[in-house]
Parts: sequence; C-alpha cells; structure tokens
Amino acid sequence: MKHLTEEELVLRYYGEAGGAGAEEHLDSCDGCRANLVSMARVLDAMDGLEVPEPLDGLSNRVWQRIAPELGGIARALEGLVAPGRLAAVGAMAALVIAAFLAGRVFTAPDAGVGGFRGRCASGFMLVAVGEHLEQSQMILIELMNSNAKGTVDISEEQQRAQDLIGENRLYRQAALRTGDNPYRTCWTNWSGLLLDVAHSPSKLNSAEFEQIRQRIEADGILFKIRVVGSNLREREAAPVKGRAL
Amino acid sequence: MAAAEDPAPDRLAFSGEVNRLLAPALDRLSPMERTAFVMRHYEGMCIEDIGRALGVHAGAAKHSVFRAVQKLRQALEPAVSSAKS
Repeated sequence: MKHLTEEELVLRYYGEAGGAGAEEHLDSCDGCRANLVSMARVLDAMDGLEVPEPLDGLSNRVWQRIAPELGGIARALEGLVAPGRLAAVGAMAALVIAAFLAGRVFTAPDAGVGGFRGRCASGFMLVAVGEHLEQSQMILIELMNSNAKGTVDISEEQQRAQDLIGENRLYRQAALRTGDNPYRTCWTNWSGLLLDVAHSPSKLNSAEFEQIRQRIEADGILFKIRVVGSNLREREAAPVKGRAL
Repeated sequence: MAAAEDPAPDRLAFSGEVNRLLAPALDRLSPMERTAFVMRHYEGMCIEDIGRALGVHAGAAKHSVFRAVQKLRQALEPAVSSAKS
C-alpha cells in the first residue's frame, strides 16, 4: 500500500487537488489520516496569529505582477495594498485579490475611487461570506437529515466540505484576528467540524455518523451559522454608508 | 456574550508559545518559501496563483509551500503535541 506523501497531505489540507486516488487512500488508511490531522493541528495553531510579513523585495515583485491585471481594482486598492504591505492588509483585500484571480470580482457602477474601494470590498465580502454560510448550512442540514441506520455514505457532503475548506480558513483567520468578534467560537467550531467531515472515511457506520450529528447538536453550529447568516443578510440589505466589516 | 467568547488563559498561553516559536521558524525559511507560505496559508491563494504572482512555475510555488510547511511543522509540532496531551 502506497501511503500519501507529505506533499499530497499539504495539498489535501489546503483543499487543492491531490494525486489520483488520494481520497480513497485516506478513507482506508488510519496512519495517513492521523498524519493529516497532526499536520492540520500545527497549521491551525498559526491561524490566530498576526500575519507574518513576507520579505519586502518579494512583496514588490508580487504587487508589480498583480497590479496590471487588477486594473481599476489596483488603483482602488493602492492605499491598502502598497508594496511591502501585502501581508499586512488582512483577509479583506487579500480576498479581493484572490477573487480577482479566480474571476469572481464584480464591478461596482458609478463610484469614485474611494467609494469603489469600500463598496467593492465590503460588498464582495458580505456576498462571499453569505454564500459560504448558505453552503455550510446545506451540508449541516443534509447531515442532520440523513438516515443513520446501517452504513452512511457522506461522500457528497465530504466533497462539498472539501470545497469550502480553503475559504473557511480565511474567514476563521479574519474572525480570530478581530479581538471583539462575537463569532470567533462559531467559526472555530465550524472549521473543526468541516475538517473532520472532509477527512472522515466517506462511509461511516451508524455510531460514527451519530458522533458527527451529536457534535453538530452539542455545539449548536447550525443555529449559530443561521444567526451569523441572518446578521449578514441584514447588513447586505442596509445602505452602504456606515457599513463596517 | 462577549465575555464568554474570550479566549481561555491556557489558550492564550498556547498561542503565545506558538508565536514565540514561529518567528525564528519563519526566519529559517528562504524568501521564496516564506512568501509562498504566507500567500497560501494567510492570504488563501491557490498554488497556481502564487506561481503567477511570484513569476515562477506552479511546481516551484508548490515546492516552496511544501518546504515551508515541513520546516514549520518540525519547529512547532513539539509545542502543539504537548498542548494536546
């Protein structure tokens, strides 16, 4: 049996496609799953810490490469993402850049540079986090409503959990970095559960499945995600002026 | 509600310990490894985009992230394991 390499585990942790057969192997290999969990603990431990600065020379290079492609967004973000400050801008501007690279940024009409920056970034964040929470709710609802008798196949929920891991980490990091954020525990609990669902075997016996359901109920995750989602929708509907992330 | 969400003292101590070990561990990374790791872990960029941003092939970006994770894991794992036990 060929175990997963550390490189494959790193890709798996960050939600990027691993080698062919990696998922199947993880399903059946306790050793590789334990290795993945051990690595995840170390990387998760770094999440709440201040974002380290990359070295200035490389930050400049990064900005010079990204700026022409960002066009108007680059001008709007210049104050936030000045060379040498790439890592310090926090999750919001980084998400805008990441979203641009993923082709997901929308265009805000009729706004000056300052207005555009605020509307684009905060609007994007609200929409993106809202979508993330809706998809999270769907996974939880399906898990809660699955028939727990016999063997339970959670491969579909797992795939969707895997798809959410990357952005979930960003939102959790942002929540952890915000000292007075009342949703820190919600994000932390949901992140942990998401990872566990994604890294569990795809077929669970009824006892294993019941453990997951009990955890959802005990932590009240579904309820908390609904509350956060509801608050976000209210903020999305509120006038742009005065909106704060 | 806010008070109930405050980090527990043991969690604060754990974060402090990880933070203390992280700085020298980051210093041991090459500039490319450090930047690729920050972009992957903290900025959430995928390997392909990191390669584009740094002007290197995706394979080189991937390797930089792997090496960074490997080195950071070696440095931080003892503290994380002892906190767990």
